[in-house]
Amino acid sequence: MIYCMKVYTVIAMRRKNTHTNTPTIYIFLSFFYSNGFAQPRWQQTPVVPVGSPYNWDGFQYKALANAWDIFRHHETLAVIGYGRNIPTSEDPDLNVEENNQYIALYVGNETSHHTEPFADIFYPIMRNIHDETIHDETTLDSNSSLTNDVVGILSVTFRWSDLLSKYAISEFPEGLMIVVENSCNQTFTYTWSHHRAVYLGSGDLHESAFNHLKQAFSLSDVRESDWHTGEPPSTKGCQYVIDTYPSYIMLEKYHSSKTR
Amino acid sequence: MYIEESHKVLDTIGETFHGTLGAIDSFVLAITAHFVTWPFVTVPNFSIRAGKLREFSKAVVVTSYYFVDEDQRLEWDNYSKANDFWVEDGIEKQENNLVLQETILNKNYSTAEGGGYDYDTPNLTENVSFMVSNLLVGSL
Repeated sequence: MIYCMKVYTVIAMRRKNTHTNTPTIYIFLSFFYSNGFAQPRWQQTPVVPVGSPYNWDGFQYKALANAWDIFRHHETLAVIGYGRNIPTSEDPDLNVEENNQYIALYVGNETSHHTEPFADIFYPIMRNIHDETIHDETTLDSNSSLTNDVVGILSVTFRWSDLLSKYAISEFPEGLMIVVENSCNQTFTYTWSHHRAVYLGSGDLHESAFNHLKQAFSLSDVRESDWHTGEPPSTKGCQYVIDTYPSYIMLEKYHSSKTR
Repeated sequence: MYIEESHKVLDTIGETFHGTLGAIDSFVLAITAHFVTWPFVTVPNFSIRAGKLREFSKAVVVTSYYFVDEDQRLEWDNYSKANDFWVEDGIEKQENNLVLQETILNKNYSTAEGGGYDYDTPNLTENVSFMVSNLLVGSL
């Protein structure tokens, strides 16, 4: 599939930035498509004061295009995209630096936080079939909710460090190594420090002396839990596994706490 | 000892992910229950509603993409230009909330290595309930 978009109008609107007293430019883009359809970005929060707030064609973003294919042709479950700022065989054209600059618009670039791995959870927006067919019950058979009538996608972009730290309990052991790997050939490592997951870098950086103590959890295992609401993650697309290992720091802290 | 603690960590990560997907589902359901004219849909107060989802899931940004077919493209082009009030609306709300955000940041921002927020709110069930009730309160 060719994901083609060409900009044909650019309307720039200047707005005074009330905080820095410098002008900020918003660029509004329109598009046309040679392949007949598109998936324009529409509403977003927060709104950043640079770039196009809407109508950028989501089909240009391969992870989102892949999610769309899964929703349309396979199943309407949540899809987790590949890390957007780590090279992957899934998307040879992935521009890491460009994506780091994109996330920096939201998290700033004063620190290295914008270079930490980030990804998207894609969730299908389904046409409410009852609204359209409830008056004609003959069309509402038992498979009606499975017609994959997807009208859009909600994308929730997150940094892995935030997800890993979100409900972390302060008693998590200092020095615990957390390795995130996926089926899109991406691996990155965090260590537990000061009550949060701190990014160490790309690759599996755990200490090999602790190989035998690996504990693993697959995000697709959430399917097996008591699902109170929402769609479980799809088994198609990037599959994530989270491994934990102890470390020498953790061992040292454990021994020092025992001798106290 | 380690095995037990790592299970606790992995269980918590699983619960976090589970809760995040549940919150996204509530948000999407609330939208689809109110609109039928796809793709010509603009959610009022999106910045507030999606902002709650963003806060709950500790996400960086929440974005909607709609499928636009070839025969809808001109109509969509006109529609999107005529209904882009949410851009200014969102910016205005962000600016109004800036003082509040800075106050919260100053209160919660951790000086721990690597920086970050104080996530000392482990009661997932309470937070999911809060999130869902906030998303569904009021009509769109």
